Order: sequence, then C-alpha cells, then structure tokens
Amino acid sequence: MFDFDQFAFHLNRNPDFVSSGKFFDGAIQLNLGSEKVWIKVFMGQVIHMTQEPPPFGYTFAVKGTLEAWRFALEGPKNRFREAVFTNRLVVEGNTIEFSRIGKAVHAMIEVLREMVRSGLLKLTEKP
Amino acid sequence: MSKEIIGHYVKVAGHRLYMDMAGEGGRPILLIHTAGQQALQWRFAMPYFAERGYFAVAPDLPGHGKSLLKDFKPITSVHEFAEVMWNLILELKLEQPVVIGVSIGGDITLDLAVHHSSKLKAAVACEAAARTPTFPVRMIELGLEDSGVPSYADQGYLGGLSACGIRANHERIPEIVWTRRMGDPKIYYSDLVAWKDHDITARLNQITCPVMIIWGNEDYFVPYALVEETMCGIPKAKLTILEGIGHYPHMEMPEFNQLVEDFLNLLEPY
Repeated sequence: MFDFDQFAFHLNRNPDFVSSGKFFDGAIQLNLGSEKVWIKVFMGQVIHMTQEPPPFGYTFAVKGTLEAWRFALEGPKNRFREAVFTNRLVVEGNTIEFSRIGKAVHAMIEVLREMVRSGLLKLTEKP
Repeated sequence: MSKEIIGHYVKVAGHRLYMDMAGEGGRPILLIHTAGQQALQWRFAMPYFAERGYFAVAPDLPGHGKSLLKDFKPITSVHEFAEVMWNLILELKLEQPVVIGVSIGGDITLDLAVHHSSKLKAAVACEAAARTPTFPVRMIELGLEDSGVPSYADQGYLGGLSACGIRANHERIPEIVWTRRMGDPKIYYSDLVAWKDHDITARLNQITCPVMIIWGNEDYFVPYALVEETMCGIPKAKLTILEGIGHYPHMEMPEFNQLVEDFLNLLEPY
C-alpha cells in the first residue's frame, strides 16, 4: 500500500512539515484499515518509517477504516479535520501534541492526498 | 448618511462595546459574528446593505475584538449574549431591527427571536439551530486552559480552511482563515460552552417574527438534523440550503447579501 521512500522524501521537503515539525521529537502512527505506518520524526525530519511499530509505541496515532481515509484523502477538498471531528478517524495518544504540530499533520495529509492522486498510495486492502 | 464603515463605542449592560456602523438613518440591521470572531466578518455585507437603505450595525460581542468585558469574565451563555444585544438595540434606539447572525451569532439571533419577537422585523439565523451540542466536551475543557490548546492560531487557520465549503469564493478564503487566527482561546472556548449548552427548542413556538434559516450543506459543525428540528419548531420559517457552502456563508459567498435582501424584500413594508 505504501511507498515509504516517496512518503518520507516528500515530507522532508515540505516546508510546513519541516517548520512545524522542527520543534517535535516523537512518533506518529497511522492505521489505515489493517495496515500500520509508524513514522519517527525528529526536528522536522522523518528519520525512520516502518510498518512494524516498535513496542515503545507512538506519541499519537490516527486510526480509521480505509473508507474513513478515503473520505479524508480523496476528492477535491482535504476532509481530514472533518473526518476527525465526525469520529470517522480517531486520534489516540497525546492529543495535545497532535494539536501542537497541527500544521505538520496538515502537511502530512496533503502529501498523502497527492500520493493518492498520483497512484503512489492505494487505499485498498491487500488481497 | 455614511455608506462607509465607521467604528463606534457604546457602554451596554456594563460592557464597553465596539461596533462597526454603516448607513446611519436607514432601516436597522444588526449583524452578529461567529464564535471567537469580530465585526470585521461583516465588512462585505455592511456597504451592500447601507447602499440599499439599511443602517447596518455589527458589534464585537463582549470580550471579542475591541469590546471589553464587564468584570473581565467571559460570557458562557447564548441568552446572556442575546440580552446584551437586546440592550444594544435599546441603547441605539433601533426600531424593528432585522437581526442576522452566523454560528453562535445565529444561536443568539434565534434567542432574540424567542424573547423579543414582537420587536424584531425579522431574524436570519445562519449555521445555527435551537440547540447545538456539537462540540466534544473534552475539547472545550482543554480549550479553556491555555496549556490545553497549543498552536491556537494554526488550529484556527486550519479549522477555518476545513470549515469552508467546496464552493467558497477562493478570493475570500485567505481572509476567512486569517481572521480565524485572531483572538483569545479563552473567549473562543467560552463561546463554545455557550454554543454547547444552548437549547431553546421548547420555546421556538413563541417566535412570531419571520425567520430565515440558512444552512450550508458542507457545515459539519451543524448537522442538518438540528436545522430540520429547528425549522419544525418555528411557526413562520423559511429554509435556504446552500450547496457546497460551509460554516461562513456571509464570507464564503458574495451572493449571500442578495439572498438575504431577497428575503427582506418579501417582508411587509416598514
């Protein structure tokens, strides 16, 4: 489902992700249906990404069904915040950190949207 | 009679209120802004109505913008806000005003319609309802403490971006999201306490003035079920649904003013 290299490449060059993440040292986990992506961010750079989250967990996670992620990522409008507000997507862990680096999260969602648009991310379950 | 927007101050119910005014001497319209915001939101509407013979008054609610709060204690009740607005109407001697409000301003408009219907020409409530328990309590609790809402300005910006509908005027979105960066989180989240606790459902049948309800179908802060419930409770109400518009119709769509004017033109002459 995920092209890690492309995801990290675009995040590390996104000015909003870099500037908002500059004051963050933590891990973000995305649960897209049954798939998980664990992203270690240090000072505005993704320094590690894996589909097998380490036992020490995450700073915050965003979890939802593939349908919920499609709602957030597909279409002409970024509906991520709407998906969270309406509980389609659930934020777990340190929600204050989630808010604090909201600009970086928004940038990450925009990168995911672009990956969906360009076919680099397919929101379908593995066969 | 100036068609330009001019700022004024007045003391009302112990609050030092700031307000924008345009078209003094015309038929009065009171314009009430959204949660945490200020009269600036109405800068597109005020000249429009002033040029058409209306006297547009847009206050900053107590604690918002340039309005000071009595005792510096944020208001957490829609009805209390509404009574301050009623006292403003009396202070300015506005005869048979039309009241137009958006979001919490719309809730305040409906509260005014319940309590002072016979004194209003009409009420236009946008992105509002008789009850609006739509924000999570935990989120509001966090917001009432500065330490619970880091990056408030970024959150306002991103929240504003998300709250605009897909058909929002693209030239106006930068201003909508910029104004969302402004303000004090304590005031915004106190507004959300008022928004959450507001409930005049049982008294809607006391409204006798004409009411227009406007709802953008991309406003996820106000589910349609609450709008429908409100419509069913008001004896004389007209509902207009805006396709592709979100929580800020008065800013998102330039046609908003014409839409309201068409409704006002159907009312009995003053």
